[in-house]
Amino acid sequence: MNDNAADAARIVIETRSLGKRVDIGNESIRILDGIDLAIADNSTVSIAGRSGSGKTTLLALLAGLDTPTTGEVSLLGCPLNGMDEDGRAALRRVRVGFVFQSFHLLPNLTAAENVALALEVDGRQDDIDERAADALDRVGLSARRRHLPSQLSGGEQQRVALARAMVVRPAVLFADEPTGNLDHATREHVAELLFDLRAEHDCTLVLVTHDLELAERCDRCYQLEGGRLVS
Amino acid sequence: MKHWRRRLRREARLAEFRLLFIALGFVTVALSAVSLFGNRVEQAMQLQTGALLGADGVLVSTRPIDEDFDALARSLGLRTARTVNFLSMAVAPGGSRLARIKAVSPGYPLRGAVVTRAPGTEGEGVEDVPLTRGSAWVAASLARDDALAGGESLSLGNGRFEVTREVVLEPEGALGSFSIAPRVMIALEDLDATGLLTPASRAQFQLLVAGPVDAIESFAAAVADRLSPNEQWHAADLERDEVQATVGRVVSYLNLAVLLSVVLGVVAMAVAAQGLWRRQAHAGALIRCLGASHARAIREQAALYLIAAVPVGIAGTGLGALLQHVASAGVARAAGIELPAPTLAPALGVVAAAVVTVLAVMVPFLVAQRRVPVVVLLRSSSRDRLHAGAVGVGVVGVLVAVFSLFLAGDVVLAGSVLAGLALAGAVFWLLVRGVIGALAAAVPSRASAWAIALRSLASNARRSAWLASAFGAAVFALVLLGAVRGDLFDAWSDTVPDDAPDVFLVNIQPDRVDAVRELLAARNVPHERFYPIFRARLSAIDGEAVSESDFDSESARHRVNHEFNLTEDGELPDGNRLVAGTWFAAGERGLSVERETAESLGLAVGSRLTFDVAGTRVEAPVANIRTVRWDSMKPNFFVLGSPGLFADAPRSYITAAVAGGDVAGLSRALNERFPAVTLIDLGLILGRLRQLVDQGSAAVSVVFVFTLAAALLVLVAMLQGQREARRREIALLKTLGASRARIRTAVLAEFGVLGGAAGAVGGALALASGWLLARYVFGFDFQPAWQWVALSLFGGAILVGAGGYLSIRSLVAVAPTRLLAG
Repeated sequence: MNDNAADAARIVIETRSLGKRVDIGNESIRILDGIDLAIADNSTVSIAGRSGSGKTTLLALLAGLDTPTTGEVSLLGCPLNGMDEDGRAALRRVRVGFVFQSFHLLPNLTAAENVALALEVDGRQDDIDERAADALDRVGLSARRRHLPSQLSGGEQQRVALARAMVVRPAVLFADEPTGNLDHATREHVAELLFDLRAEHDCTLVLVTHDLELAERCDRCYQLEGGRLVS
Repeated sequence: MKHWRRRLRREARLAEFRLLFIALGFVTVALSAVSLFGNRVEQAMQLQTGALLGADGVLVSTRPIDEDFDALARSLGLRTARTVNFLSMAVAPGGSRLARIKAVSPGYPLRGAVVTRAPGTEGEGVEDVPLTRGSAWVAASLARDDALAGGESLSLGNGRFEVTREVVLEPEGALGSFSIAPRVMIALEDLDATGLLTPASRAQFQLLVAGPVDAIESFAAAVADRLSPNEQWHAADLERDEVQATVGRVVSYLNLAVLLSVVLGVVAMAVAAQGLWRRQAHAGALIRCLGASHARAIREQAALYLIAAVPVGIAGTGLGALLQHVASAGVARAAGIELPAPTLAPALGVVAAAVVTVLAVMVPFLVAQRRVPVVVLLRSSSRDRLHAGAVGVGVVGVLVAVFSLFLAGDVVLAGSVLAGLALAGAVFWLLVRGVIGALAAAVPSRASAWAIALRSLASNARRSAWLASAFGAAVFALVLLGAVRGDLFDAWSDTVPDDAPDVFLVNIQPDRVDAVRELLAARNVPHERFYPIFRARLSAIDGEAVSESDFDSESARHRVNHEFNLTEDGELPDGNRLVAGTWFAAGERGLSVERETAESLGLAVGSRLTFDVAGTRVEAPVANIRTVRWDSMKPNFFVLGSPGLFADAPRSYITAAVAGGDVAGLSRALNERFPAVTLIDLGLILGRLRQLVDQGSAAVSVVFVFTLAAALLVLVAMLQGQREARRREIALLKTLGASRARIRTAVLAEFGVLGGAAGAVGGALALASGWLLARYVFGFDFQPAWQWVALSLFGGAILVGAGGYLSIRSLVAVAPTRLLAG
């Protein structure tokens, strides 16, 4: 394998001329326009910007949660444009983890069950409970594994979400404002945990945030302005 | 299985999921109880009907009936008996009389009883006296006939019989047969010894069968292809139009109650499902985000509902069966009758309905999520705007329509209810979006509790309209059942009033009409008009000769194959109603045909019928078609002609009279002066009808309670669903500084206005539907009781206002931060 080929192999996310428009009433609004991006394996990348700048939309396009109006996206070497939703879901199932600003824990599931959900979706039958328990232990919540989300603080809920994201050992971790709903002290703790876990699992982190301090922890920082990326 | 147990345990932690299945369980209990109870009542009434016939079904022939039929019936577990009926002279020392001989086998009758008493005595008689060989039981009129008076024995052909009992009541004490001779009943084993029956004799042979409904139906199906032209099968329910009319009303009402329970059940579940939809949308979006395909998400959810619905359906059906057992025991005690065990079919139907209903209220919504990208579903604001769309509403609508038609078995009934509900839904929608919106615009801008309430109604127009529609449906069902029930009871009371005619006098010759009228007047016996009777056969329709083989339906074949009892009348008889054409104009030659007869023979206004009346052909057009109140206990006719149509034909006359307790005395008086006149005692049929009414009234009261419970369930589901929706609104109001008292008043006002408006509209529409049902299904005059509307308005306002307040009372006391976090 030559150097160029090795470089190409290390690119896990790539976009070309990526654009997104949404129709609101009779008006068509441009959210993203001509995004070209390449993210290398095992790197950390942040995308910062003001509220409403399109950060979450970009993350959704990169993860295959939404489809672009124009341009192309490739995730883990697979062009998403040519895949249907089920295909994109299958790709996420085995290689991708998510952390959201509002945690998105299911309210009727305990902490351990929320973590195990990711393994169940992966179709695994064995050692689910053990792996979920290990993941919770890693985020310091083994004592809270039987608690429902409503019985946990915001920081604890986000740690459960982190455990859920990492329990499948993802190649890429997408984090959308992971500290956005937390107070300062908790934010620091969760951020530490996020970067520690990423390092342990050698996965690529794509972080969307408006917190510049958090964004600057990443290997590479992008700014989203007027629908375009600025380094 | 472990996987599904785990899934069920998790889902059961959701209040919305629990509510949905509690609603399903409750609905299943109500549906099961009502349908099983209805099934038992219907069976009981069938038995009562059978008691009039002496059996559940009868095979009738003009030739001796083959033993094979008897063997077939017994192989199916049916009991059998045989009778042979013919006319012959009964000879006594003092003279002779033409009599209707009935030779009966042991075990006769299979249903009902022959009530007898010692000859020449008075009293109600007893049921359990066996008819022994060598004995004859005779009709009261014969026992007291001068010709036979004093004779303790009589001869039939070569046989000599001891008169041991006088017949008071017997199965086939039939209305409509207009038999002219009194009864003599002997044992079948004695028949040969009389020598009266030869191959050339004109006699009617009957094989009576009785047993479980399934076995009767199997027997009927098995014999259908084997009947020769001189054999006919009659099921009990086809035999007596008077009974059928009463049974039909009870069954229609029970069907209406089941139908409304189902509709309310689906509404309750749809209300409960609303909250669950949003939860499921979130869970579905998350697992799609984690890598599950949308198809898998739907499959797993649908499987989960299926797995939960089956045991809930079975448990609900079991509990419903238990409840109806208790109710049946109560009815049995109250009405003094035994209800047969229910059949399995309704129970299986209820379990199937439970599964289908759950899938119908949930799956369309799951499918509808496919249109929405995962990232959109993850936003809570987007989920709040989700709804199942036209497809979902359509699926639930079709489901309700199919259930309705299946359960009601009556297009008019199902159509009236569904049209009423659809209209109610549309009116509720317009009312809430229009009227309340206008009220909100008119309220002062200051933040009074009333202003908050009205604005809340108007700004959440979809939610308000949905709530109003759900509650309005409950009111609609209750008022409809309640209002119809009251008038139905009244109509039933009218059906068999204490002064209903209890005897028919038939075979009155034209020259004796005035004398009979005078005799009745002298004895103070009230009577109906004297109708001329013309015996006639239908020979042609529109100039084409007709025969039995031209028709498929049993009733049409029966009508072509038998003589009609025609009459002439210048006035539409009481209890008859025109449904097509016009009544005879002066001088017009025409016929008036009963609706079902017209339908079975394919007749319409203008069809020309030719009757053979004692050798004379009379042709006339059908001038009108009418319905008949068969249970009026008055002379009724399938076909009647305009005045003078059968002017030259031989005739006799018939009338109905109220003999009260003096049937025997009247019978003796008639026999003395008019031996040819026959008195038919309607005591048996009247007694049976009154028993049917008692059963029907008790059944109707029980099912009303079940439907009331279903309506309350809608209210509970609706208010429970509101609780989560109100959490954020109350938090916001409290954050903005609204006092607890103001919030409570606003909630009371909002729910009160909603409940009152929905109640009033639901009540008014229910009365309109009730009028339609009364007129076209139950066949009685409906007097809309407008106080129902006032009751619905105030009842709705109080019930929904108080319920709404109680459902959110605990939220008002909680701090806003906890409300928002929870």
